[in-house]
Amino acid sequence: MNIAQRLVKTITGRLVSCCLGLATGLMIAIGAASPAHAQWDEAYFPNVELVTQDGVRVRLWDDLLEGKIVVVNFIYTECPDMCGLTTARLAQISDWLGDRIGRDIFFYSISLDPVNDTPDKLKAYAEAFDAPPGWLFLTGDPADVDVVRYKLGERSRSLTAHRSDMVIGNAATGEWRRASLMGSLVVATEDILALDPVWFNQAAAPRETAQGQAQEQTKLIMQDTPGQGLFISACAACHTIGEGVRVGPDLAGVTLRRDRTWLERYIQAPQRMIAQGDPVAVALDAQFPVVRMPNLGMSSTDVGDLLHYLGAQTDLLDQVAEAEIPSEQEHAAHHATEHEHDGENAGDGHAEHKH
Amino acid sequence: MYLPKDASRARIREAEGARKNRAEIVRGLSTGEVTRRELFKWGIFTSAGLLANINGLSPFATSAYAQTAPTGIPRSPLFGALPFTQPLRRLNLQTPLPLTPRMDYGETVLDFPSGGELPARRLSYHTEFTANGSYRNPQNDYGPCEGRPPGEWFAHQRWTEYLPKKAFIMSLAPVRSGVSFHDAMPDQEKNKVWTFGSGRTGSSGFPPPLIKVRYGEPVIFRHYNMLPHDKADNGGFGSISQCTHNHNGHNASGSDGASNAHFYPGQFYDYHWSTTLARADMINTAATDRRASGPDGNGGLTHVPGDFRELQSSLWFHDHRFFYTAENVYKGHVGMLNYYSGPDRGNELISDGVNLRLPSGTELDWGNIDFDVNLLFSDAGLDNDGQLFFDIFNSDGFLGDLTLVNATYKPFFEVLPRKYRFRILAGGMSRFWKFALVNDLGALVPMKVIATDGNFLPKPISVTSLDWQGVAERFDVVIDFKAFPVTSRLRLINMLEHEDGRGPKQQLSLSDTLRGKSADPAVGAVMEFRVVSQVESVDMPGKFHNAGDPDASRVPATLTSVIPIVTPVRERVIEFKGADSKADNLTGECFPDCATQMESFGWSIRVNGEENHFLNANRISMLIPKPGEVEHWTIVNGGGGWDHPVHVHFEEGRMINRGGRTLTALEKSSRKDVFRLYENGRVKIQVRFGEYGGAYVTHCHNTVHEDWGMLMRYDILTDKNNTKNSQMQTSIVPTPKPSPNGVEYVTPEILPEGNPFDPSFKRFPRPST
Repeated sequence: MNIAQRLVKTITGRLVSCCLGLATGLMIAIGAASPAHAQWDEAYFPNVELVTQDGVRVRLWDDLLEGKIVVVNFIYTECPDMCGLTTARLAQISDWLGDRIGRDIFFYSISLDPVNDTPDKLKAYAEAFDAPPGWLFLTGDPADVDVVRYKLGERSRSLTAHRSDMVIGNAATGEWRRASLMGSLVVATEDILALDPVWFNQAAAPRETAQGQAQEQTKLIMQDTPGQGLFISACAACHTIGEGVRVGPDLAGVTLRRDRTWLERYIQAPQRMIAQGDPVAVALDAQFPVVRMPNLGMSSTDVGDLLHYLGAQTDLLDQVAEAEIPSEQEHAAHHATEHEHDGENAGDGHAEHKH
Repeated sequence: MYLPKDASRARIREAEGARKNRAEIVRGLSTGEVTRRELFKWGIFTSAGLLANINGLSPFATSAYAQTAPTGIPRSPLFGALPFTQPLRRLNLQTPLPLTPRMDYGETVLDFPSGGELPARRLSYHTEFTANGSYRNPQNDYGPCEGRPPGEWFAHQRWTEYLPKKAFIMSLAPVRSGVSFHDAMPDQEKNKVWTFGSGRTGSSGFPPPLIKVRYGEPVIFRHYNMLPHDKADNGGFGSISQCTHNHNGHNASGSDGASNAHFYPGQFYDYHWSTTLARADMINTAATDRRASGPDGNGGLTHVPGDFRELQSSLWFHDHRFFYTAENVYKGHVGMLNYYSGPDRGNELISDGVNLRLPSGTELDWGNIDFDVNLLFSDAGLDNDGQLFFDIFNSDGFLGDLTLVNATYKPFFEVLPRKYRFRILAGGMSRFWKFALVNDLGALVPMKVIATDGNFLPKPISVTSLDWQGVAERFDVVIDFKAFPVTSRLRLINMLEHEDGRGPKQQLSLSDTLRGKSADPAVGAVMEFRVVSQVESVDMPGKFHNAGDPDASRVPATLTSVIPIVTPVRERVIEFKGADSKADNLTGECFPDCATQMESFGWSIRVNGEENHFLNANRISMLIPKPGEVEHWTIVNGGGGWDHPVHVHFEEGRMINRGGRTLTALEKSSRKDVFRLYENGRVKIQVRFGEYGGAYVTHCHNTVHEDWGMLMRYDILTDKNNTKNSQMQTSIVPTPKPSPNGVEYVTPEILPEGNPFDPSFKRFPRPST
């Protein structure tokens, strides 16, 4: 990442932090379908102050939780093994959730070592993972961090015994749970999305298997072949699945982050949706202004096959991600080494060296 | 940390101070003013590298904001409820419904003559829903009416061979009004307790249910989910999608209730509780052994194939929704299951050379419970309004400060001066118990233990206190009250103290227990027995039993035979909360040194020393390739100051050894399905699988640990050469992925270290020392 990119990121980060109040107002509207449950509201979460990687002071309940869907993990920058790994996996989820991060879903990585983890250190950490603006890295007064940690279920007795999963919740509905970062990331992403009542209800809406064709027993296992052919002939020139932006957006996780009906409509008639002012279609058009999404003349069966394939490939990527854990670990270790060379560390290691 | 209410302000001050001290120490460490070695010398650092937990000095000690009780809230208000003022509620005995078989397009379906129900059948109704959209959820119209996944994988295995003869219909539903833990305590709000009700009613209440089944009479357990559709209507905890595990019946995977096949409000799920006797395909296949039998209802026996040494008695059923089990069970998804057999008839009089004539009663041909009493122990915490409370953010294990028996706060139970059998279940989330019985003078009273986890011991064993009892463990004991005159009072006491939910802290002496020398409110007397001259029969309501009536019951010197330990086909090492090796894979050496702390995956399981894994329903950690093969498993506690009661689904294990620790008298020759490991301990067991196949699990039954990832799936394959075996499970089965609108299947992965077909598989791995 070059300096200009970093600068842009910093500014956007600040803007988002400044706008948190506004965002909170919006979120209340989203969560209004189910009233906040008394048990896990501001009476449970103390409104203590934390500091973001940009040095912005934020309140736990008012700014970070109220009305939002949140994903919280606990890290510290000198963490030898786990934090880099889990944060990299969280970054994968963040990519898949795309523009929902910072809109209605927020990620918080809270330092377990607030004395050492200054905002500057956390900022470097966040950038190493290319964290989008909706993902805050938080530190604060150790006593306050302790309370936050306890209240969010990180109750380990030593740093090295800290939890490597995440706590996910919707403060608007009062639904909170744990989700693994080391298991299937598709499942983890779906678990996060399922906290949104709107997504949950859409996921529960009738699908073609429920309405239409009889299925042979063997067909209940995923059949990827027709969708794969379509993807190669119609999509692969512009899109990858999990290998980044080529001409259009990376389609890994697209079946998770977008509503199925929307995908069906968009694939079959993208320009119409832009003309009709569909906000996601318009935003995509603005984000990828050079090449526009063509209408490929696909039937609804084709679209069904294609979406099935995209979903299955995302599942497959998920398995690859698990298999590739060692390389991610190396990646994280590399970053840790860099930090040490910065000479900013004043942790236990240094204290021991001196004696 | 259990602090008295009046100390809370002081505690908070103390903790505030401790936090400041702690901050200074951490600052000192970070600036090099003090070294870790100095802290160690001062006793502030432990050898494990933690800040010692003295006066709240540790940064990871309980936060002052959470203080007081282990529940994370102040001590539960009692509303003036006194111990031993409420009679024990006997579990809510369920009445079976008859079923009538009928042929329908070549399949045997079972009609309910009582009406109003879809016939019970082999394939889930979801199959038609998937095919053509029929059989919709009557409550929302968009999902299937049955939550059992579609098609052959979840079709009932060995359906006609173990064709159900009776059915039980139950609803899991918000609690009806007027239900509380004690008359002095407030009624529970409807969404604070979700428990069972009989039939398809949508109403539920305490006490929890009791279902009696007998070998030779398979049943359908039709379970309706009558919970709210809005996930937020859960009173702060509990999942609206649930599933029921028959713990530890010998059933097919689809009816085991732990194969990721949870179902949603408005749906039902038919569980096939087959009453199959294990080894039916290997031992006594012609059903000639009279001991392998069930009562026929007319004084005779119905013979069944299988090994009489595998007969089961005291089982239970409870929720097994992955990630939500602790809160769901705590909220009320629990009941007990008594299996009756030829030897364990539930009748004291029938003398046919097979019936052991254990204390039970004489009114019914089988299943008398006048003198055979289920005791379901649990612990609960209440909020200030007296409503059930659960801390969903607790990961150590959740402890309640109120002890309950059959959902009643510290009840009393009236007994005649004669022999009784008690089926004692540790049914909480994280609490271990150690029970003993004391008389009026505080002296210990002997008990005879006849079964562990629902499996007979070869001989009854007299004890004055039971072994430690981890979550889900059962002890069947016989207590003879004959020596106690009417008006005597005896108390069941708990001598095991917890400080947190990771595992028990220590066992107290009898005198310390009786004097209340523990900060743990669950230590001390939990239940009272009152010897009286007359009790009303529950088997024949309206009839009374009197103190002078003859006691025909017996406790024979031999109860069953022991299954010998043999050379296994393969061994496995299963480590709970395994710590990763400190050496790196490249050089095999530690860097910078092996004393340096490494981070480890907590709440995880690893097989044969390979990678640690958290719960993933779509990952097969072990494959059992063939029925009938004997395996030895060494189950290891990976440390970290925890204890784990490890549960193996579907089969019981014979305990072989505990590494360096000797087996207790109750453990030797025992067969169990839950194994306490002890801190840093291990246990080796012998298991053998057969008759059914599909996905099962083994997990820590501290349900909080389980929900936080300490669970793994293993798949059992059926025999393709045995026509009685289901042919759908001869290879691995896909994983159901349920949602309110129906189930999809996904393809699972298999860990190579658990797959005997993988070339890298180790047949005889060695546990690390």
